[in-house]
Amino acid sequence: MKRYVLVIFLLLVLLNLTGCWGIKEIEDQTVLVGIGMDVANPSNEEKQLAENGNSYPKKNRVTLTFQIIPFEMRQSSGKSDKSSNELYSNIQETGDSMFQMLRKMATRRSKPMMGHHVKVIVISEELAKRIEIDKLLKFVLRDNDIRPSCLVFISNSKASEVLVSNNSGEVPSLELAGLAENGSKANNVLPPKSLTKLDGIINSGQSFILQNLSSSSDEVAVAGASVIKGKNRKWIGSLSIREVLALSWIRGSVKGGVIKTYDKQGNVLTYEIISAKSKVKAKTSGKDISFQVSIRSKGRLIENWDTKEPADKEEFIKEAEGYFKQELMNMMTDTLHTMQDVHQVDVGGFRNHLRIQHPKVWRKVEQDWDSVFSRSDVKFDVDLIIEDTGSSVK
Amino acid sequence: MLTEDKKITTFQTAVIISNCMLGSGILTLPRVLADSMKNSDGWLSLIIGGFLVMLAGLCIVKLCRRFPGKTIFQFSTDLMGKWLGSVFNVGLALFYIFIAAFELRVMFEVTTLYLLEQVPRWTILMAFIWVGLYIVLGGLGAIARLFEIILPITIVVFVISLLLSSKIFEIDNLLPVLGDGVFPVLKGVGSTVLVFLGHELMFILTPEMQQPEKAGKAVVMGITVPLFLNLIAFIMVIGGMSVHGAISSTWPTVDLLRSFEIKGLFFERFDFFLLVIWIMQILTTFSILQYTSSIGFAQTFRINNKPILYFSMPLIFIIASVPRDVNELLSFSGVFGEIGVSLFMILPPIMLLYAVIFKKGGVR
Repeated sequence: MKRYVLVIFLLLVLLNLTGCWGIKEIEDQTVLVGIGMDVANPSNEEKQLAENGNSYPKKNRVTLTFQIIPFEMRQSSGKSDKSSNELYSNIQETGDSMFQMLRKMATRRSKPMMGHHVKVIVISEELAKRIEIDKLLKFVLRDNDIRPSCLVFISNSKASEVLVSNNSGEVPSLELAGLAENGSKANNVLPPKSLTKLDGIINSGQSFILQNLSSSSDEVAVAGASVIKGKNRKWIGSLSIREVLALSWIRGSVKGGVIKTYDKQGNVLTYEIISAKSKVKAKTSGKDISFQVSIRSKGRLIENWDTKEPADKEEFIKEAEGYFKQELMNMMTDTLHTMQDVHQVDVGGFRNHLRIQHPKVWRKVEQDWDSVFSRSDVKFDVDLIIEDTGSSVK
Repeated sequence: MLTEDKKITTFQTAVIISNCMLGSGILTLPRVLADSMKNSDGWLSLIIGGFLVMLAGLCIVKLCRRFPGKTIFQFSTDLMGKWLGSVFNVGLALFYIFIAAFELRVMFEVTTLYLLEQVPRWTILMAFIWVGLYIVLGGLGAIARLFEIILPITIVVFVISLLLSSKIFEIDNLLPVLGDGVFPVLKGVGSTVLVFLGHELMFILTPEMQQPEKAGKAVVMGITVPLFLNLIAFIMVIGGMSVHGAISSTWPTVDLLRSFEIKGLFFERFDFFLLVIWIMQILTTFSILQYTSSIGFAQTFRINNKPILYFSMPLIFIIASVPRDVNELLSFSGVFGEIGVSLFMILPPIMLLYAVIFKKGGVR
């Protein structure tokens, strides 16, 4: 008898081993790949639905654009006539609680959503001006589905416009993620910021920059950066491509690329960067904090429109070096001016140098670092060498 | 059960200690440390804490060596007198039950957050308790052999998955070293000791060893592994997420692994690996704690420990269900950790002194 009971019990226990308790077939899921955040502007479908009773109490603050990929068993016919609207679809919801909107979306779709694959979050400039960025991202950080590895961007135009693919064949969110990865190899594009990094940055109260996206009628490009002030965590301005490039030089994150300038006659001169290093020394004397940024770079003269000048002449090389140095200096001093006087923030990583080199001083000024930095003195010193002139001497 | 219990080897002792220490702590430690120190010097505290725990462990071993063949539950009556000793034993055994239950609950919280969202609590807890029971019914020999299998897997998976996060590692987050002076480091030591609780198992393992004279070596070996793993975890988490990022994350070590994907390595995501291995690790912690508490009751009341194991199951289940949410759970665990620190860090030297001065136990 006892044995029978045991056998039956064990068989029951076996049922637990099938592991299909929370089974979700992948064909029955819709996959969320991107989220766009805009200032509230309910779409027409929503208005119609709301009139017909699909509404709930809320303040219209944010319009979210969810980009989803429906997971259907597509017959991959040999024809490549897939229009882009079959690849993905964007759904808009307006409200104030992100999660509520996400759940509300479920009332408009037949299949449950899966947030594991969110690759990008795009926040429009307008929204970032009005609402603190950490409030917008709080939900995403708390959520257990959306991974903190997804990238965050700011868009000049509406986020919903950025999340529309124009050259069909690629889902916009995935395109953007690839764009950021690829673009960070160029110097005028910031390394993409994932939620994890952003969380640390926001919590430390520092000002920071986020990659900007600008969309034209037929494509999206990364361009410049937005400045978010640490004190109020709102958008306060943007940096041009040139300024972002200068920041890369200051931060020492330059990996290849070019410096282009003009000589006296207005001929184009281009310098290809082989190596670039940056050293920042923080000096403190009493209350005064100053920084010395030394840049060392080696490269080659790659383009020179002044065809009369032979490139093997020593003085010509020296002259060209001077031009490039000047260009680099101008770039960095302009950017410094933008940081210190226009926006009054430190987004060049100077805080880190002070924190590491003079921790005691840092503790005194960390609460008010942005304004302290705006008053501190930054000197640049550039050492640039043209190593070779490529494969032509003329 | 299947095999009669033999005495455990020195290596097995070390493995049991390591497994017991590698519990829920490794997932929360970076946050706890960063939060208590507000800077990135936690790794120094970890090293200091590890050495302190080794010292405490050596004290315990010394104490046990004065009472050969007896566990703490047997010699506490010699030390403190019959009544006080029995009260101490029951308190200690109950303490272990509580810790085991909290480890179980932490396991459930993480599982339900990242792995099995829709599975009800009772299922996960019960399945876990049953598996744990199966292990502990086998006695210490079975426990030791299982732990020997699990530990190497744990070390390999932990280290590899954490090192993969070097993709997002920034050395600046770990600098400056000692920027705020030594004081915060010492402040952090307290939090690290919580993670290393487990050395007190020597109280019951020493008499079970084949060569009790090597117990000191075993405890040092046993503490080295968790120290090493916790160090890697802390350094990678702070390097990847920065101090401020770690402070705001409930389970920073898991979040670190959720912060990157690696393309072209057969797997893109490594958080699942870590979690699966970590659940095994919690099982080891849980089972050894349950075993210890049952031994405590059994030796105090001089009965067999099997029925106690059965009886402690529902008790553990109930205690594990008590905390309302993660925050309450973590604060409970914190309180019990403090109790543990005072019990196993401060008490052993005192007991040892007492034993030496009043010539308790067989002097060697």
